[in-house]
Amino acid sequence: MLQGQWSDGRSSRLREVTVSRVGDALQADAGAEGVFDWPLADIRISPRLGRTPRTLTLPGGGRIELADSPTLDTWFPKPPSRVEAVADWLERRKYAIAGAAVLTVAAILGFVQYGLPWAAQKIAERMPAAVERSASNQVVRVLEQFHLKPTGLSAERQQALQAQFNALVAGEPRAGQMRLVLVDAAGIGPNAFALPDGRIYMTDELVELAQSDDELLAVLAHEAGHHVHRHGLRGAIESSSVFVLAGLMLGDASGSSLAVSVPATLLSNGFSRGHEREADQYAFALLKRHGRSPKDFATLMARLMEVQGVAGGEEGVIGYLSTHPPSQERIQAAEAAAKAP
Amino acid sequence: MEYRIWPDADPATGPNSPPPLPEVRHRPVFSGRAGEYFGIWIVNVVLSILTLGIYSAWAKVRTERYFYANTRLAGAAFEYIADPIAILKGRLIAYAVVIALVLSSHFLPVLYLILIMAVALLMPALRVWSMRFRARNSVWRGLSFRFDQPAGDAYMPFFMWDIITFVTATLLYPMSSVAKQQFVVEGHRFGVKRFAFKGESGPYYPAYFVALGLGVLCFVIGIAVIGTGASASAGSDDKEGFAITMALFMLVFYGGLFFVMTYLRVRYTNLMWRNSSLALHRFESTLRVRDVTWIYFSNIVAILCTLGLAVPWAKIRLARYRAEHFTLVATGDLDEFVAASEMSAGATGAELIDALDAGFDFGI
Repeated sequence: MLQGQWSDGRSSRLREVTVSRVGDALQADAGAEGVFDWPLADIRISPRLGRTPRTLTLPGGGRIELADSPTLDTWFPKPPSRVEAVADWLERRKYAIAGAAVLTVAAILGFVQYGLPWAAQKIAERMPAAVERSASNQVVRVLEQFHLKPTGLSAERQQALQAQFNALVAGEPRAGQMRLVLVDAAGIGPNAFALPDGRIYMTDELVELAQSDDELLAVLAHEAGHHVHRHGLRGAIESSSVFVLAGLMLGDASGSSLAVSVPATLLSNGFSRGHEREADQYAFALLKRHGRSPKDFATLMARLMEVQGVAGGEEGVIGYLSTHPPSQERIQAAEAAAKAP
Repeated sequence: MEYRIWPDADPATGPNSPPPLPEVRHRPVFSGRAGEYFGIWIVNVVLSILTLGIYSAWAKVRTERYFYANTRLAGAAFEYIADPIAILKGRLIAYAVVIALVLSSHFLPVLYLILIMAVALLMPALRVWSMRFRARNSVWRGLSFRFDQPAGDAYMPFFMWDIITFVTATLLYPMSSVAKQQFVVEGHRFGVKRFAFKGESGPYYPAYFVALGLGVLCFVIGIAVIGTGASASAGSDDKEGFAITMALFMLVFYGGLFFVMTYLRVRYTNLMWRNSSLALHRFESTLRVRDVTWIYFSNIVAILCTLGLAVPWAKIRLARYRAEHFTLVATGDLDEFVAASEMSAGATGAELIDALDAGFDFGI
């Protein structure tokens, strides 16, 4: 015998009832209003969930709400939903909950560490060239706001740089699409960057900063690495997936999307740092194959650090907020690569 | 299906009317527990991962059911009765739309523009379908709720009024909010009884002016921070100083925006409930700006510091606070509502609204 609240589904009135099982029927005793019964087979019971009350949906639309009780499971031995019965079984076990927490963390780490980069690589390889071009045009439109001007270098100097660059990447994968674009960009400063479709920009300010063409070629080798490894598209795929995922996982309990965007940004910057390291490794190997030294890369990096005034302070917390690995670490890696046979 | 009947929104008070019935105040009791919900939540997450998202439809139903069933009002718990399969269908469509949006934003700006415009144009209709689905699947005392405004009617409050607000430099924002609330509240029925809304924008203006003032203040402080930072590091090439200035500006700007939005939300939610009624029954909402700001802020911090594991605790805490600050002021009997006829509602609109994170800006 169980106590419950019966509503007939036609009005909002609640009646206190005593519910019991009589043979194959459910009997509700509503006191002065009489005794009612329905065949058990026609009654639907809501799945178990925590300590919440169960609801019996009666034929004709009535409902009886009653506290959860083991008696109900003997009356309705077949769970209303097999899926939810499994979930409920797990939700009531401490070890299952702990296991779920561990599995969730492991699955997320595994996906972020291996699954997503792998998938991004596969997808990027299958993207048509038109997509790379259109993505690059978008970047160029943003860059134009920094007042890009045609390079101020002499025609001979331009030709010399172009020729050395072409010789460096000749025979490399996807070298056919690579094109060196020289620009005067006071708004950007000394820098070089690769667009997804193979355009590699280098600013006059960087050319001025470098003390030899060897240093410039070391930087261009790094940018070529970005193109060979399709970092443009991979990065875009990785960071958008991370945002969608964080949105799905960390729903809203905070009234803002801050709880979503902070972890997503941290993760996607982590991917970006990985790409930079990959491009560095590619550059070191390429330079050595051409009888050059990764030392040139270290030299220019060190000079860049001096100019930009970030002599240290990149380690620790700031390191995780950056899209690039700490410069000191990159310089050491270049020097180590130069010494290696 | 009948549309727009409110025979008793304004009960006649003639000379022969009976003496006023006594008022009874009912406050919802929320009995969810963070520990218990953590188990449900983490099992939901892990099963959703293992099934590549398929289980998330069941997860959604169990989550909603947990919060509904743990909320008791006037002697009866709420019940969420949506079918997971309906949610799954809506969810698959919603995921496809979101993935198309995200990918096209990176690779095909033209397609992205077309898609985002289509979604923006559909948004008012989506809101209606979403409310229809939720109302249909919400049950209390054996009766379900209904939302029955035609989707086309949503374009006035949720499209035209946004444009008007924009054109008038937000000066008509309070009127726009009243139009939205009126549409939403009057569209809802409990059984056959329709909710009523007496909306005058007058009381909405003081809160608006406070928010506007706060917004302007934040902006001025932000500019002042930048100005001081710029003059302090004038001439020198001080990157660190610049970074600190920018960080301070972002803090003032986003912090201020966060507070102003929370302030308006809380004030307008309270006003919405105060202006709503169902038959002779009224509602009270006594949310406090400082409480809600604190809950939101500490929830963000807790969620970030626990890498997401505090989400269940944060949700339970918010639900408890909301229940504690809501009152149903019943006049007479709550037993006399009558059921409406059957009618089904699809879940696609509801899921798309969820996936695009485009819930209402009133109601916390």
